[in-house]
Amino acid sequence: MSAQITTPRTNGRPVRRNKRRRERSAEPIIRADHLTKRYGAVTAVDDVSFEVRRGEIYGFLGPNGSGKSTTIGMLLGLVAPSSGSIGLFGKSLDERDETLPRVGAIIESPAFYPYLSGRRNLRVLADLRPGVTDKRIDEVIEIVGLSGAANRKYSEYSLGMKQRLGIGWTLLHDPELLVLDEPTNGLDPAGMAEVRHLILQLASEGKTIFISSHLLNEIEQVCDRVTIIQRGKLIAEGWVDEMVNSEPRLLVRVDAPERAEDIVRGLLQGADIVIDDNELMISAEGLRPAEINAALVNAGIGVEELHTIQHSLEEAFLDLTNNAEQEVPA
Amino acid sequence: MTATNLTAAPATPATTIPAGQPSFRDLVRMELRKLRYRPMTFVIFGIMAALLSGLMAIGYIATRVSERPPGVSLDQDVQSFLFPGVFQDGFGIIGGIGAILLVVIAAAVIGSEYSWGTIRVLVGSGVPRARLIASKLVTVALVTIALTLVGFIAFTVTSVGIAIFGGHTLDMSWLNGSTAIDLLLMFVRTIFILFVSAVLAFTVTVFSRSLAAGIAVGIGFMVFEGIAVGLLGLMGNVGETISNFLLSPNMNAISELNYIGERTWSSDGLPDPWRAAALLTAYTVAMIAASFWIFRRRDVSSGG
Repeated sequence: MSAQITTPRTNGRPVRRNKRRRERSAEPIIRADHLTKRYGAVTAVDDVSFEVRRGEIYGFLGPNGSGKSTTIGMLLGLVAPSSGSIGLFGKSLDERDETLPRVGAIIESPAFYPYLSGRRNLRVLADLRPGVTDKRIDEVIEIVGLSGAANRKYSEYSLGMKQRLGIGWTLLHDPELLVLDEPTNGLDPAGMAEVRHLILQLASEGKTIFISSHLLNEIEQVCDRVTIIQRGKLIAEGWVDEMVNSEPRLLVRVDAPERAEDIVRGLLQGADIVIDDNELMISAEGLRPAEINAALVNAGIGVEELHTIQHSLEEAFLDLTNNAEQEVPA
Repeated sequence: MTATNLTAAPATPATTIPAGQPSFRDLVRMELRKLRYRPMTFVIFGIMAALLSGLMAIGYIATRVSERPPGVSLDQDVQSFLFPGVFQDGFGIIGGIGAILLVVIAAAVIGSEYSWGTIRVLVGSGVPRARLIASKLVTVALVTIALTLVGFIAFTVTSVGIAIFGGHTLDMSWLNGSTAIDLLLMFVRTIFILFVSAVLAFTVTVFSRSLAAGIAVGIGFMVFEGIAVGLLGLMGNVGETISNFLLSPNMNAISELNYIGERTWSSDGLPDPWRAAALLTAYTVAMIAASFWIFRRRDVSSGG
């Protein structure tokens, strides 16, 4: 009896399809090189290096207090590195007067003047961006979906509306690079989906996007590459699809699990197999589902179900951060 | 629900927006816009006008109804509420009330940016920090001028009202080229004195990154310095020498020059006005330099 190999899934939720890797140039837009920030005895960012290339959506992941905002602070000239360097558009931090006007950023959380309306906030801050017209302000308000609330005071905005205004501010001068620190914080699921679409749209228009977030599903859905930091140290960097596809597992439901285990062990040396009732969860390098299916069927074992289960980014993240936790002495 | 969906329209504008730095003028305009839209500004200007007019009106009524010494007429007794005597007291009140009000505004110009987190937006936009803080200081200077002007208008209008409704002569014979210059100098002296207080509050706020600290220290300094000057006065020459290096005796030395016509008081015990001006200028420059130094060097952020 042969079972159909079904669409891969991750523990009950639809699996993230491998995205086509976005067109990008080799031109580095952000380059952090052995970046370190110390506050007295505390090292907030410890020897972090990464590179973001033009056209990428780059995720910057880490638990709270891991050094994400400090790194972004150094990127935007808010915080001076203790050592190492961070450059934008191929230029050093010393040339930030020239490079930062090409960046739109939300840092930590959206911050605006509470006594002004959303529109007036953008009008006032537009003085920082020469060439931004009232028409552009209206355009941006429409893009972020705040047309109906543009004349309400910022202090009366919900967190989601504040986030939208923050995104509007980053778009105001049509920057080449967007730095978004937790851009979907406070948004409802529909709002989060809209922001994801906007990010993908901006990337399709040629923008480079650097997103810091602890919402792994969000990063997984939009980012091309990610860096994961913990306790200020970089613990992983790579393509999102490689991270989630690393060591996929195979779930097989059969009518003779013990026999099935022997057959699978014969096929995959060193496979990690966990049996739960009639299910086998197989983890191994070079899983070959079709071959396993054929071997089981040829042995007369009834295969009722067979799925590959990919790691979600969350699982990859937890694995990496747990491993790093174990390596760090208490 | 007032927020609508994000649109599918391209986020890139049809026309290119050049990436560049705002000019100094842009930054000052931005600061003035913030103040113009901020209710606190109007409250403070309103307090200035209302207090000046109110104090003068109450003072006039009290003088009018009180018993006068024999041989002193009502007109003589109310000279300080009428032209040109009103200018001495008027500018004096501006210097007193204005200093407190300006401390609030000067601290707010920078301190509110820290409280609201907007300092991250300003600095993170790439504007050179020196230009940013310079634009804020120029804004404080412009507000100082505006507040002095509002005070001047308030006491002038009140004085005219007192003359008209009190049945006094509205005498303008004192106004000539020389007194016009005196009047202008009174303006300049008052603005200068107020600006010193404003810069003190501004500097404390930059150092502390706290609006409350800037206001508290700015106002507290005025109160405690006054007490300190009193105590130092009891210590003889040493006390007087120390006191002459504090702010308020030097400010008083300058404001004592604010009169038109005959001077009716003595400035004994106050420092020489030129020395006072030089010392206050030196303090102001030192405070501004310290603000620039710390603002340019210090990190603007926190968090993980």
